[in-house]
Amino acid sequence: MIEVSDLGYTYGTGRGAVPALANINFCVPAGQTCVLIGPSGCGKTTLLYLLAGLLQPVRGEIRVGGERVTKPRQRTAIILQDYGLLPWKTVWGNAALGLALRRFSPRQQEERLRPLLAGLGLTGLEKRYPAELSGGQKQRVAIARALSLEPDILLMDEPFSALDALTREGLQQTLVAIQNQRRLTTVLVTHNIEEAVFLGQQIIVLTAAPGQIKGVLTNPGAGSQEYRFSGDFHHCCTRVRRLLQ
Amino acid sequence: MLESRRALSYLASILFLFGLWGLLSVWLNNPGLPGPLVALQSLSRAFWPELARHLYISTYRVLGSLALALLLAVPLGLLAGRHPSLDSFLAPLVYLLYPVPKVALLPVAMVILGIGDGTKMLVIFLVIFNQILITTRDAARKIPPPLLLSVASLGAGKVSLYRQVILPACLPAIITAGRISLGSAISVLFLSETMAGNSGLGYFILDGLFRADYGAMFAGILAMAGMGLVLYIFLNLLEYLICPWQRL
Repeated sequence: MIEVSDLGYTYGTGRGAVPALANINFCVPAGQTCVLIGPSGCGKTTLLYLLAGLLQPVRGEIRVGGERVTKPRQRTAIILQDYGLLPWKTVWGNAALGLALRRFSPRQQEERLRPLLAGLGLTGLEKRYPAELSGGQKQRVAIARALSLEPDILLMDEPFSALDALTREGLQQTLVAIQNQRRLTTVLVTHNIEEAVFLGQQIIVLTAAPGQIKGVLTNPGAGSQEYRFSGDFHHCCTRVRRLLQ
Repeated sequence: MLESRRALSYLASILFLFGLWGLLSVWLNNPGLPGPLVALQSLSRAFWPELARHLYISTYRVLGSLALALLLAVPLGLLAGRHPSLDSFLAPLVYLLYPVPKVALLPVAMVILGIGDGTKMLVIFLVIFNQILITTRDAARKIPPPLLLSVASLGAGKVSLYRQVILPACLPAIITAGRISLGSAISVLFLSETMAGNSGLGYFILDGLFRADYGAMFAGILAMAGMGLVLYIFLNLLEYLICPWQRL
């Protein structure tokens, strides 16, 4: 479970200080997906960095499983916008990076990665560099790298924004399947309303900078393919759109 | 196909330059500028054990200074690029020292270190150190923060970040700095070898001039050009081998 209480963050200090987030309170139960949506520059990505322990809050605190987050957690994986793949490493090198950094032997890396890459349709691409991959393939490598560390929390920053509609929907399905299989607690940042409603069992709408919570929607139908074509889906999209306006 | 086309274009460039050189020598009609064929003949007639000795000395002076400059300027540049506090100390120093012509320090170096390899290598080092430092620092500054954050989130400590992200991200710029520095290094080498000592291609060329042995002089010039070309190709090969992603 992720608990965020009275969270605030400011970039810089003194006169040049720019408040990015204020009074953020929410809670994501274990195994659920929470989507953060809001206008550009509202602090969504900052919030994700704070959840990952890559930034430290100026106010308030974040707890995961009851423990306060003060540095990057071993079992929190984050996938950043533009995938965060290293251009000088091959698919295998990128996917294995987390394992290599945690001193897994090449055999252990092999044992963990082979099935993951196969499951994500990346077998045969191991020796390619990111520049030789499509956007969807890059995103799958980033997912493989994140999952290789067997996380319990997955944080994603606009993971599918640069993809065409069909690839995006395919990857959304893949994400749902992975979550159902691994019971991951996921926090995903997007500015796509349909994506937010399809994936988020909880949708948090943020205001313009400094980001504050404008509304929290519960969306129990999220994650199933049929839901995308239901009236509830469109109704929920309308509610999110209204909140954003 | 692509390789053979590239080889052909290099060959065409060499022929073009030799053609220009030939025309210029005919036009000037001066023994100081023999045509390319005469120069090549003089290279084949040169006393090779002697020329090779000078070529060897010049090569290790250039390579040694380049290696030393890379060894010191690259880590310093990487650190300065990532740590603004270090950069705020270094940047004014570099800025103030950059316009000072390091070659002017050659006489000072001669007084302190004598006329051996040390003097020449020190002056070359001083000239190219800044170039490599600044290029490396700027490359390290430009690394997209999300790249560092994504690797940090995987559990990378400071050393791992340098090894996995910062150094590889700067490698292409470092090799480019090496290539640019190579040209400066050879120019300074020539100057320092003509000013002091009795070894190296600079000395060999000047000795040919003083003896009015233009054949030997041009053999030395061609050997120096050849050395520069081979070292340049070596750096390209190095880039090809250690930066394979750059080829895509």
